[in-house]
Amino acid sequence: MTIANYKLAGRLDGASSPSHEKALQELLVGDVNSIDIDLSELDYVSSAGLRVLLVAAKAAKAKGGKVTLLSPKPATVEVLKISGFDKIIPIKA
Amino acid sequence: MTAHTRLTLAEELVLIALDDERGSLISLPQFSLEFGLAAALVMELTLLGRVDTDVEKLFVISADKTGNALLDDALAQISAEPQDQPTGVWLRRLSQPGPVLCDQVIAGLVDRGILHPVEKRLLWVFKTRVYPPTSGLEEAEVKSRLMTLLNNDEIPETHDALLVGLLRATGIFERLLSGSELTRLSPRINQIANLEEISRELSHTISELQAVMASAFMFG
Repeated sequence: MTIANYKLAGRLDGASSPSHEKALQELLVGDVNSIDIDLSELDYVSSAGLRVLLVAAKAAKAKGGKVTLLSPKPATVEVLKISGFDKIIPIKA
Repeated sequence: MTAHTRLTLAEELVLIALDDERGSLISLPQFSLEFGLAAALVMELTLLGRVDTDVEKLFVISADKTGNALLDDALAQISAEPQDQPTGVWLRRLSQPGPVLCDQVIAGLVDRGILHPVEKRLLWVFKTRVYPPTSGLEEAEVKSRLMTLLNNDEIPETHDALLVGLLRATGIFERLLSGSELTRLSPRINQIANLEEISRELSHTISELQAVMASAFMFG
């Protein structure tokens, strides 16, 4: 398993999600099948933002890898738990 | 819109809500289809990048037209609102046309050749119109896609996750699946439906409305 790293900061919403979705897809090339996403500086995530994480997790899983969410702030953890994302995508504090 | 365009969530919802043989809508809890269709419009607008939601509100990202009259009408209403409102407010407002909303979606499916209108007589006297599927292929494809998703543990496509949310909230799964299937698949249905905030809000809104109606019925 080859892991790439990605960092999200500020807002992940409908305005910013298309570019992040594209960037995450572009990481999953060659041997890379997993992405660690640093959420430590992410302040806000909307429904469109959550979908970016789900799409990346689906693409990684299709390559036999996974997406792991690192160090989310408490507000982000709450959003991830309400939507059940924590049951699908591993989260590391 | 051409027959080759992917079906919208509202179109898929109505196709599944139509009885294949009779060509009329299956019996569902009151108002659930109207609210489901309103949610389907909002969901489609999120997929097209026109609106977005969080746990507190629904907000516009782009007021650019989509080319679909129903979606553009919904988007115009949302865009005209000076302040962001909770998603539940928009589900109530957009469901206001009631059965007309469903008729408009059916008319679109007829235009695309997916349904065809048939005149029937009720009690040999009253004329009524029903809409059986032309080939049934589109509905079969949607159902097949759904059952595959529910019976595996794959991460769903967003479109399919939203459709599962619509079918859960409107009570269609209760009509689509046998009792034992429903019991077996409920955890998976809930897992998928709860991924999306609009789906959670739709279930909440319909449950709340049904509780109010039940209370009004009991206490007069």
